[in-house]
Amino acid sequence: MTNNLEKHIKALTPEIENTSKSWKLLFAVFLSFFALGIFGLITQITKGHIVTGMRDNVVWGLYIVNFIFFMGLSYAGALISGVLHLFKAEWRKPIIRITELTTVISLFIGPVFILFCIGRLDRLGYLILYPRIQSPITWDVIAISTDIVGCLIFLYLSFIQDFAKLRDFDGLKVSPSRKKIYKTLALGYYDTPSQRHIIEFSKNVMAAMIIAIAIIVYSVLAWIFGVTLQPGWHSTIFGPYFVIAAVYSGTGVVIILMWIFRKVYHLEEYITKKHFINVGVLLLVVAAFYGYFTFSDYLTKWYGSVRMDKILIDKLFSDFYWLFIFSNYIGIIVPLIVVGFPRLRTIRNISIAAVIALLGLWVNRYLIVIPTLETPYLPIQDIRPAWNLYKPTWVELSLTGAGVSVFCMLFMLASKIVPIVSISEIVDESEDTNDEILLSE
Amino acid sequence: MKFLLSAMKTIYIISAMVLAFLVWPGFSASGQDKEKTEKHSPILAFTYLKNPDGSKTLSATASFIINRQIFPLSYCKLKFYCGEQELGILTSDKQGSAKLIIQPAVKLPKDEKGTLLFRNVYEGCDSVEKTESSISVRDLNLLLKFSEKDSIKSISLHAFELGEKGDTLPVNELPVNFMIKRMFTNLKIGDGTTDPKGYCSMDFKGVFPGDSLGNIFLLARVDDNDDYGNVESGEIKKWGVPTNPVSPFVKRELWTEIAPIWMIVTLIIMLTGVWAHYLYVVFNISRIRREGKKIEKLKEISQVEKLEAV
Repeated sequence: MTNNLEKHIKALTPEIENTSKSWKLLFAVFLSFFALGIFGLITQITKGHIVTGMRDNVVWGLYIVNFIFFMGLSYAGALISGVLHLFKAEWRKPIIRITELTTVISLFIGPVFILFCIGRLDRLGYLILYPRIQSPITWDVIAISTDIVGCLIFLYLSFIQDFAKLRDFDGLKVSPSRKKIYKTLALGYYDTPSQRHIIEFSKNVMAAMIIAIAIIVYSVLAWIFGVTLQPGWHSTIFGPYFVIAAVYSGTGVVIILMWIFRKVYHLEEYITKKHFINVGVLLLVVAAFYGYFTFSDYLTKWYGSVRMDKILIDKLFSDFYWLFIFSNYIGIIVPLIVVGFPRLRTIRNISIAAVIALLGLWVNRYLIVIPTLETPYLPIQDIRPAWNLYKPTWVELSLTGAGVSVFCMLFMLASKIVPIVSISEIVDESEDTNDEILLSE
Repeated sequence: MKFLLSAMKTIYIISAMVLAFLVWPGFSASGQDKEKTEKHSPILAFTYLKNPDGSKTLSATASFIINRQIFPLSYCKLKFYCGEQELGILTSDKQGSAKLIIQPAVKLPKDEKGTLLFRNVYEGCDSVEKTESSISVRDLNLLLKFSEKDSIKSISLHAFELGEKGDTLPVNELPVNFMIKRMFTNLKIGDGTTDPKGYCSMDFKGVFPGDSLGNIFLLARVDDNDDYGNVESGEIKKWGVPTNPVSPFVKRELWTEIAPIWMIVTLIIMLTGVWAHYLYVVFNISRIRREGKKIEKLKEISQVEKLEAV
C-alpha cells in the first residue's frame, strides 16, 4: 500500500523535488516571449494605442479576441470538470486536474487582455465605484469575479486531499518550509469518514455551481455582443453558440495538454488511449453541435437579406475567405472525420484534430469581432480606408504570444507546487481495484 | 495493418478533395469574370433640381446591366458641363452616384432663348463604353408669400423668369405642388396651376405636427417640367402643432438613472444564491479544519502517553 502510494506520488510530482534542465530551458523560452510582450506593452503605454491596429471603426482587435478565447477555455474547463465530477465518470480521474488548472489559469489571463484595450485605465475604478447594473460590462465584471472565486474554491477542494498526502508522505524530499506549507494548506485533513464526506459533498455543490456559473458567465460575455446593434452580433443564438464554442475549444485544449503532459512527464500509465478516445468523442459531439450552431447563425443572416448582414457575409467570403474556410469547415470537419472513424482514433490523430479545432476556434473569434467592426451601420464619413480596415501590429502579436506563454508558464509552475494528476483520486481508484481483487480471491 | 493504412489514405484523399472543392477559387467566383472581355453600355441617369436657396443640384448615377442585373459604376470620373463650360469633375461613390451643387452666384452660359444646357459625360474605360446625358432647362424663379387673415392661412406663389434686363416674365399654366418637408419624403398638402400673371395660391388647412416650437418647412415644387426641370422654393413657418416626440427606446437606454426593477431583482436572487453556496462550502472547509485540530490534539496526547509509558 505504502509502496503503491510512493509510486504514485513519485510519478505524479515529477518536478516538485527537483527541477530538470529541460524544465528550466522551456521556462526560459516562454519567459523570453513574455519579456517581448512586456516590451510591447511598454511601447503601447508610452506611445499610446496608435501602435496597435485598432482605429476609429475597429476599436476592438486581437486583445478582445484573446479575451474571449481564454475565457472560453476557462468556462470549458469548469464545465468539463464539473460535469465529469457530478456524473462520477471513473475515467475522469487522471485528467480532471488538467481541466481544473485550465479553468483557473485561463480565468486569470483572459481579463488582463481587456486592460490592454482600455485607453483610459485611470477610469477603470469607476466600474467598481459607479457600477450601472443595466450595462453588460457591469454584468461581466460581476460574473467574472464571482466565477473566479467559485473556481478557486473548487480547485482548492480538489487540492486538500493531495496536500494531506504530500504532508504525510515522508519520502518526499522537499524543504521543511515547503512541508509546512503543505501542512497548512491540508487544513488538518486526515481522511476520516466525516472529513471525506464533507469534501465530497462540498465538491458536488461546487461542481453544480461552477457548471451553472460557467454557462451564465459565458452567456453574459456573448450578450455583450448580442445586445449590440451591429451586423453579425445582434443575434439571439449568441449565448448558447458561445457556450458550445467554449466547450469545443476547451475540449481541444484539454486533449493537447493531455498529450503534452503524457509525453513530457511520462504519464503513459495514467493517461491512456482510452482517455484520449473518451475526450475525443466529447470533441466530436461538441464539433457537431458547434457546426450546427454556426450554420444556423449564418443561414438566418444570409436568408434575411438585411443589407448590412449581406455585406458582412460577402466580406467573410471574400476578404476573410481562407480564415472562414479554415474556421468553419476544416476546424469542424477534421475532428468529425478523425474521431468519427474508429480506425483513425489514435492518440496522435486525436491530438492533431484537437490542435486544428483549437486554432479554428481562435480564428472564429477573430471572424466574429473584426469583420463586423469593419462593417458599421453608420460609417464615419470620409474616413481613410486604412483606418477602416484592421491589421494586427507586432505589439498586439507580442502580447498575444505573451498571453500564451504565461498560460504555459503557470502550468509549469503549478507542476512545481502541486501534483499534475490528482493523487488522491488515483490512489482511491487503485485501492478500489485492490479491494475488488481481494474480494474476488 | 495494410488495410488500416489504405483506409486512412482513402479517407484523407476524400477529405482533401472535399476541402480542395471548397477552397477552389471558382467556388466563390461570380459570373462577372466571363463578361470581362465584353464592353458594356452604361446607363447615365441625370437630374436637375433648383433648391429653395437658389442653388442648383446636378445629380448623375452611372450603372450598367449584365443579365438583367444592375451594377453601379463605382468610383468612376463623371464630368459636368454647362454648354461648353466645364463645371467640374467628380468621382462617383460606391453606388455610382455623384452630385454637383452650383451656388447662385455662379454665372452660367445661356443660349439666345435663355436655355441652360447641362451635360454629364462619362469617358468610359476598358470594359465600359463612353456615354453622355444632357438636360436643357430655363431658369425659373418661385416666390412664396404667406399670409394669415381671420385665422385663415394661405400660401401664394409667383412663378416667373428673369428677362435680359432683369424684368420679370410671368409663367402661365405651370403645375405646382405644395408640400411639407418630412424626414424621409415630402408630404403633399395641395396643388394648383399658375394664372397668366404667374400667380397661384392655396389655403393652408389641416393639422400637421411640427417640431417642439411648431415649425414646419413649407415647400412649393415644380416636378419634372419639360421647360424648367425640378424647382423648389420654401420657408420655415410656425404653422404646425408643437410636438415633443417621445422615443420608445428611452426606457431601456444605458443612461437611465436606475436599472429596471426586474433586472435588479434577478441579479440579487442569482448573486445571493451563488454566494450563499460559496459561504456554505467555506463553512464546510472550516469544519474539516476543526476536526483536523481535534485529531492532531489526540495524536499529541497519545504520543505523550507513549513517551511516559516508555
